Amino acid sequence: MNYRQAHTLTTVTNKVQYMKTTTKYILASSIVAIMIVAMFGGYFLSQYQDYEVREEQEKLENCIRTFWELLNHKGTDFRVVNGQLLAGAYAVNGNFELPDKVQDIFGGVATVFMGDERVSTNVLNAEGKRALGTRLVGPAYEAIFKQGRTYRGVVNILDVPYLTAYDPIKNRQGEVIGALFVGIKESEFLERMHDLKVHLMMTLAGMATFFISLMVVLGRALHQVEAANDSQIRFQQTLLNTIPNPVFYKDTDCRYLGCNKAFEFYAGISQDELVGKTPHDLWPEELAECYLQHDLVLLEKPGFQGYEATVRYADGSLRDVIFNKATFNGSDGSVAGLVGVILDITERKAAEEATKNAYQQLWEIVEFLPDATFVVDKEKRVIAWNRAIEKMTGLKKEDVIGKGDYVYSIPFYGERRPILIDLIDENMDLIRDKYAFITIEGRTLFAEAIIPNFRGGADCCLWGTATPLFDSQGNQVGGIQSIRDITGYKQAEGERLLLKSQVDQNRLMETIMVRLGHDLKTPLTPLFILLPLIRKQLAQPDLIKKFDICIKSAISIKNLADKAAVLAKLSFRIQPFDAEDLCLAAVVDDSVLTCEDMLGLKQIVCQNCVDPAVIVHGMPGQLRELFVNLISNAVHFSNDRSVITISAEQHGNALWISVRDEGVGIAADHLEHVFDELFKADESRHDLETSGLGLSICKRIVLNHHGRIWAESPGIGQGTIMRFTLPRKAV
Amino acid sequence: MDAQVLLVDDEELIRQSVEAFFQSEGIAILTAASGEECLEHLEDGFRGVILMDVMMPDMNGWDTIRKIVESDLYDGNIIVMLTALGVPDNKMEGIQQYVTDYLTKPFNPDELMEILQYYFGLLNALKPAHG
Repeated sequence: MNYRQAHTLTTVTNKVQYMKTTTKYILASSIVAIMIVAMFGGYFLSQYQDYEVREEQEKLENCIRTFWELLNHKGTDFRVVNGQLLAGAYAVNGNFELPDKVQDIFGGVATVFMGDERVSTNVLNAEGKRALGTRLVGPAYEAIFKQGRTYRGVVNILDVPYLTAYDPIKNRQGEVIGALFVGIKESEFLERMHDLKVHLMMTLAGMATFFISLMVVLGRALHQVEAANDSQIRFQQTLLNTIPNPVFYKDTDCRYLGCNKAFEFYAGISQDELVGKTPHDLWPEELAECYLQHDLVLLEKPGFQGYEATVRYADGSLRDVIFNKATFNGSDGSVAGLVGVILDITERKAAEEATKNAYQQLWEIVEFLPDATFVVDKEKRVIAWNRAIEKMTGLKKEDVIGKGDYVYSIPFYGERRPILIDLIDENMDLIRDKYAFITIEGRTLFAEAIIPNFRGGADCCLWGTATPLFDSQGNQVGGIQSIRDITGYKQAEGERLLLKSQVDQNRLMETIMVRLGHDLKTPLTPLFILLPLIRKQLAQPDLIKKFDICIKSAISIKNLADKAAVLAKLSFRIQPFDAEDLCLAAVVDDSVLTCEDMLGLKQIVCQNCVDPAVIVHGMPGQLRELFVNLISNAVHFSNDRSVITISAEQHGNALWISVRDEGVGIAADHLEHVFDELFKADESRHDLETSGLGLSICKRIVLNHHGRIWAESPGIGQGTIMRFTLPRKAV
Repeated sequence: MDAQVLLVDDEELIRQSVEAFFQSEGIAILTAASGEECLEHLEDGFRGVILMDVMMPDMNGWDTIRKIVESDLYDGNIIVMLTALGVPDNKMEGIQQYVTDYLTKPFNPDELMEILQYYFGLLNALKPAHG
């Protein structure tokens, strides 16, 4: 059995086999048919001949009986007198009445013999004349004249075969004195027989011709089919060779019958070398045993078999493969062998491994995401449930993984119901009112939901994000949802909004105060100009005194407006911190110079004890304002001819700056409040010369420099120290 | 005697009080309730110290100065701005050189006189050069 024979399982080869069988069958049938026809023809012919002979003989018997009756009617006493045969008185010789009558009735010929000589006959000789005088010879003569009995048979009369009947004519003594003869030309009968034989022969020849033609046609068809079969086999071999997977076939003894090119490459041997070998001849013991065992299992239970195994290529590399094997049947229907295909899955396995690793990494990422996160597959079954969501819901992985039917909604809503991840493809208009807030970007849903009594506790505000997941082909394979508890954030957000509204309110206040400061000055201008004019024209001293009060009030209003505008600006205006490095002693000197007039008025000395080497980081304008305010404040509360001392000292990391006076001091319970807006130590006293905003401005400036300011006083009447901190040089 | 001071302020009470003050001092003064009136006075030939309010409806002090400069009416004048804010703002960008001084509202008569006397002297000193 070679590899070609293995192809008998194909339909084409089956067809060829079928045709071969058919041809043989038809050939055999034809011969039998011809034989039967010949036999039946022969039998029928012989039967027919017998029948015809009987018919002829009967006719012959009728004929000779009639001849006898005609003769007996002439006379029954036969005798030869003077060379004349007489029947009674009727002379037979040369009298053709009776034979011609017989010929008229039956056709054929009739003769009366006297002895063995024809004396009355219508048998014609070669010349066409009555053959009188001729003699009877042959078996008929023997039967009539020697044995004295009748004769029936075929006799040549004048070289013409006749079917004949001869009866002896006897005299009263019973001696044979002559014979009666009737004959029917055998040629008529034979002609019919011959015709039949010819018909039969022609029939047989026709049949033979037909069957021979059939044979020829079938033979040619068979040849064509075989040619097609050859082409088909070549096609199949090419097809096999084109398949990149190794393909092989074996017989029932597990010996290789053939293979394709890929198999040759894999095995490292040619097909011719392969044929007849067993797995043990080719592969390492362990692998060969594996293949063989599978082969035997398959042959035991014919059908299909698939299994994963390892193969060793000719180059020595080991590869993971899938074997697909199937049995094939021979023409007799029994298992003739098996076909196998080897599918190399090394790369696929590697890819699967890589995918598995990638998934593992992905799961780990999901697992450790800070936000509560879960992932569902296409059927909405949970496939990932991370630590954060375990912590948020108290529901463990093992209780949800692999489960569907909205299991993930239970911890949030206490029932199975669709949640954000289930609404990805919903119409937004239908779901908008289910959430405190919901929006969609692309196919990602963002929503905020209030969960009342979350896990039996307080109401909870959750922020959810749900996104569909797609595979590399773009098919939706599931979804991922993250949930964040933003309750705290919302509270902070609420506070932030409150703060913002306060800031807005402050801005409004600032605007009002600035406008107020500005608008007050316009009506103050006429007062400032006209009041001194009017005062000059006053003569009465008490009127002048009252008028001075008016002037002081106007000045007080102006101061208030000025300070309020400054404080508003310092407090509210968002301005860049355009700080620079400054020599603190120089700033103090500038400020003291500004206050020269008021110091001079009370003959107060202001000492600048600041080390000129001290550099601070601050805004010069604001720092001058700060010192002017503190000095003004100190002057205001100091007695005439006292001393104000300004100094700076390093205190830890900070620079402590102090403005010390020897004035009225501050009560201990007022120390904390002197920096409050519009705070005045004595509520009942309407001190027109102070605005009550000076120290507030100081506090604001110090705060603007990220420092702090406070007041120290040993007590009433013992002076005050205003201290504040300032940053040193910029770091 | 031709007026040497021109007060530009939309506030009538300010115009009246300043006028009253200058009359008591015996100094001639012109007033204008708007930038337009100020320009008219300049076109009529006024030269001297212009006291210019910053915040006015329609055309503010800065715009008026621009107009003065553009109309070639600046020469021979000294401009003192009257401001309630105390701080020059960014609207004066590009015309600082035309503003000689500032007077913060509310100003008292002494301050006003001090400034005016100073600039009258300056103008008189400059006149021959212009002559």
